[in-house]
Amino acid sequence: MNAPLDPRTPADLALSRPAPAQPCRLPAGGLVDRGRGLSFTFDGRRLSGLAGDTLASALLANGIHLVGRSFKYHRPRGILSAGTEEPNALVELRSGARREPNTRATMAELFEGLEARSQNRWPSLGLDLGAVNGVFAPILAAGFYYKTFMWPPSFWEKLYEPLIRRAAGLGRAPEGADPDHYERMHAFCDVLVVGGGPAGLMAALAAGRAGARVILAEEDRELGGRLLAEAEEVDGMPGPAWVQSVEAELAAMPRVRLLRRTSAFAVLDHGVVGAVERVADHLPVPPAHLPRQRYWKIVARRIVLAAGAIERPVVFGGNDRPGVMLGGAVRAYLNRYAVRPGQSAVVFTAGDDGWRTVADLARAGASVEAVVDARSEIPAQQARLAARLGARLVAGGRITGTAGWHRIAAVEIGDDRGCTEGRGADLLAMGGGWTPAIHLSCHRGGKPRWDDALAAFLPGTTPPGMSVAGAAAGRFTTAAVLADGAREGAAAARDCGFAATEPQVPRAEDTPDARVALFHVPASRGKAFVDFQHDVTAKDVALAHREGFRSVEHVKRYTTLGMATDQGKTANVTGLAILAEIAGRSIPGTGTTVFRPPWTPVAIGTIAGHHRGKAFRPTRRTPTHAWAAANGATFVEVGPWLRAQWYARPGETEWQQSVAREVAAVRNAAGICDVSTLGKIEVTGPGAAALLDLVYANTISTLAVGRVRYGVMLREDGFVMDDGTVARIAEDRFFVTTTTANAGKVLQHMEFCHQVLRPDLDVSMISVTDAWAQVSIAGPRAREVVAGLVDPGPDLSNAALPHMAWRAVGVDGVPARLYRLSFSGELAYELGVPPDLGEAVMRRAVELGATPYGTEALAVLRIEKGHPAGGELNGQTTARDLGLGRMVSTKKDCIGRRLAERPALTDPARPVLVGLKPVDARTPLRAGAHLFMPGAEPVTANDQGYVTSACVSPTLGHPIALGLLSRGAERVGERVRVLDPVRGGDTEAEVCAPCFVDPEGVRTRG
Amino acid sequence: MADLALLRPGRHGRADGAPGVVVTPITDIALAAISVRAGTEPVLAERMMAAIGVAPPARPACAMSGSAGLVWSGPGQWLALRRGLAGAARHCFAQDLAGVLGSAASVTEMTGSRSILRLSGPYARDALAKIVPVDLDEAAFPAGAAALTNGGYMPLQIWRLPADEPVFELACYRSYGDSLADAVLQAAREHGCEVLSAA
Repeated sequence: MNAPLDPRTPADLALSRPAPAQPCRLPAGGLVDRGRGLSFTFDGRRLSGLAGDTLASALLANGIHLVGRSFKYHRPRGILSAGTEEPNALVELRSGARREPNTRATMAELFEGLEARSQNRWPSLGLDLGAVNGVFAPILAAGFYYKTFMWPPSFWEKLYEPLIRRAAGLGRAPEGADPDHYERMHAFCDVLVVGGGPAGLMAALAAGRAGARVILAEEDRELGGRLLAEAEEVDGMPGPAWVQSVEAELAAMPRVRLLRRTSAFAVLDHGVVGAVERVADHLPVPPAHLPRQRYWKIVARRIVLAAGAIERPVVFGGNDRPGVMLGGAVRAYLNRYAVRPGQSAVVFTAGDDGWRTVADLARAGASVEAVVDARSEIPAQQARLAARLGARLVAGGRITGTAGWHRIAAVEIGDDRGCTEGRGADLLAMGGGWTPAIHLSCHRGGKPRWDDALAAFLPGTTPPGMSVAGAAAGRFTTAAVLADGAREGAAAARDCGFAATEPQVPRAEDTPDARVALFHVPASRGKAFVDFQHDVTAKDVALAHREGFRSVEHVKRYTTLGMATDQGKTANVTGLAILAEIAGRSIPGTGTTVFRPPWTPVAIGTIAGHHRGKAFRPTRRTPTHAWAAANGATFVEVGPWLRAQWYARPGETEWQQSVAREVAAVRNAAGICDVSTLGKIEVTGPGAAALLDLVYANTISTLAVGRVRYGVMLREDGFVMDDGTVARIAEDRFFVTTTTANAGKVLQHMEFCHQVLRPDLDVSMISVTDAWAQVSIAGPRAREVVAGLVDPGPDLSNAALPHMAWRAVGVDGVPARLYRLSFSGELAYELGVPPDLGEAVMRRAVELGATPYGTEALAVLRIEKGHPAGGELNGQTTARDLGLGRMVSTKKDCIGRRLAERPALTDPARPVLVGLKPVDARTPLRAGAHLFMPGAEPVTANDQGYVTSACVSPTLGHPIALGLLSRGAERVGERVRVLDPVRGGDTEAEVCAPCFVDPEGVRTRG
Repeated sequence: MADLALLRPGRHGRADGAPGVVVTPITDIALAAISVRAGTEPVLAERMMAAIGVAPPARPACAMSGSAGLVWSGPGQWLALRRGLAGAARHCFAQDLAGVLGSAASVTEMTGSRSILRLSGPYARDALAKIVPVDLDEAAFPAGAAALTNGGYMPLQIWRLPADEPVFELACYRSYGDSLADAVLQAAREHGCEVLSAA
């Protein structure tokens, strides 16, 4: 007996087991919701967290530091940061078609049932065989691939590239189509504030109170920025409480829009900012009515960039070991998430900032083993704190190495006298200072400037309309940040014409951070990483310099520093500093790091929005679409249009059968075809005739009212642009048709000719393509059918309505137009009725005995008649090439006439339109095949032309084709070789005149 | 209007709460394109007043009077519209207008050439913001405003009826009707969308 398959995934099974408690969760505090526990899995292990956690904070709450393997050396990696800059903790979320690789655990909000997996490891995270790359590290340095896989060249494609491709890359792309929906949103505002930290909040408050239309975009799920992560008071209350009070005021302003979970990722031209809102990424599955993500195009008159700052890691040996974290991140985990990321900590700092970490760690009950401060003089207050905590204080100290397997176990500390000592620790909090997040200020070519005092790049030139506030502008105390935000927000509102005053700046911490510059510990043991995500070490930067790469841009490309998905947020400045140190130059003398969009990875699907699959581009349907669908039509896409291609009848198993029947019906009885997709333009006004004479190669002004003329338009360069018919409706009114493909282009061209070349003419053009359902009724019995369709009265005789004439008729009392026109070569009419009547006309025509036919039959009919269409009007043919040379009037000027006289365009050896029929009367000819003299070598030099359109003619019973053949008109009766090397056709054909059926046109005029 | 088959009357998108967007297909409407002839603006204004009770707006705007109106559709061009005509009379709108306007303008029959959707409800503006790159804020797009624009890769014309409540009419070439309906339903689903029977 077969056991039923268990439909549950391993993650389901894991979730069905009870989760262990969170050993590293602090008993109180934090901004997490202790009443809402959440279950999730990591590599199949069931774990629990709290609402308000990120995946990173929940993993740390469970004591998990090892979350991934590095890109190149497969080194164990942990969680470095608590925010958007995370280079290490990249995981795969969800499963199936929603599987998403390379997601930052620090940005992924925890939800019930979240499935997360580590990446880049095999067979498991703990035992990763790829780590053998670390053993070969000496040869895997920068430029390894460029140098190694050069020889022998033939090995590249077959051996090296496939192997490298298999080994390279991070994460696995999902295989199924994305089941979620995305959308676009357009927004307009006076002031866009990027960043909802203290500076952004004050800026929004200042502009909002002044009455400006404000959009505040914050990347995090909550407003507050660093105020959520620090144990700090603002206005006498805890930071988060102050944030809440401001948030409440902003939320109550009708002209202020707060966008949370929204990353402004690009500053584009004309004050447009691209932003992505993660609408439902924090939910297991987006609700049916919501998109997963939304792409905002925000048009802002002013932008206040308040993106804060990013803490820099220090480059020393073993700085990538799990358990080595940024100090600011340690504080975020302690204060915001109530998670203690380590029990025994060492803090490595270059200024006062690290001492906040010391205090917060101590308050959370962690043991601070040592404080390593790069400054040789330690303020007394801080020294007292170390003494009180029993922490070893190393002034002028450096971390020179770390030890541990999957997590840090000990650090090696060096002091300024060259002595080293070891210390056990399961957490190393490091910080080399803060880098202002100036990225968006560089997006339109803005150049940052180096500030020596702050040891940081600050915004230099900024995009028009952008100002920078807060930490992004190099202000590093909360009080300064708040004041800066208030000032810039008010200034931005004033620029938009609002009488803005600066809000009172709340009381806040205002002690500047006394620090020394610290980027790199050269004398340290082990790999010292600059770019964690791309595994670029300080040695790689040195190697690049040794090999002659001087420009920071070249070093970047050679080492791939800063080129990973985090765009070097934690690496660029440090890399530059190391290069400067090696080269013995200043940092600004070495180079500048600039940034291009996007600030953060953005899924292509988000930018595409709703426009994918069937909605990729809009579809145009003819007025008779529903009727055609109900009558067995198969549709074909013609540009944006869907047209009926043929109407299969019961018993017809091949489309050729349907087409042959439809063609025969037109040749022998009557057919009806919807030709509404042809472009239709009504040209009106006293200047209409003069404009049409300019636009068309032939003369239109001589056309009598009531008559129709075939017309050819040239491009300015003398080649044929389009063809169609012109009916003169009244002295000052013409009805022009174009090909389906060129409808828009021709109208645009005519508007250009009017507005730019002949603005003196009083003429206007209106697209009436959608104002008419236009049907072609063709065949020996067409007159009877038409007589049955139109209201009684009009004389439809050949004398009263000859070929190339039109008249007004009525259909059910509604004004309609009847044109005597033929594309098929038969007695034929085009009947134009208002689109609402289109289906009724089709229905009645069929009742009157007409056979509906589609575009395939239409094509066969016109090839049999030798009328040029898309294959011939291909932008490379002249009027003469198409046998229409005599239509180009010599009595008047027209667009393209002069350049059509160029020698190359009048060369008698040019390929011209001919008919072709296979000598054996059986072998089909294919469009695209090339023409050669029989016996000539089939090389380009001997190429004499090509086949432009081909079909099997049901009327003649054999294949026929149209083609362009050098001196073709003189070669009727000759044989040519028709060679189709791409699809393997090779046959001989006889050259004939391009009209195969009724060349005298007797039927047309009947 | 067969081209709006997607717009099944009833509730679409978010099912709970009052509908945020109400969509009404406008089908009982006659349309004509008006092009002013050189130097005849004053005459046209006068005759237009006589014909449908409004003068052509000189800038992007719409002017409505009872069941008829004019929507600016380019320099010297307007879309004239009239509700409530039935049968053959609906298709003779241009002919009738031309009789009154004479040589002041060229008039071209356009009845049936547009798919027109009326959007109202508290979230009409938010839904439209997903489609058209036009600032629809009260200050930028007040009652009676109009614009020629693009949305969902379609040429679109949008106007706001002269009423305090924001009620918009969105028009595309008839052949794009299904794509416009799809765009509107997608844009409105977040807010809950009620499609009314065609008016």
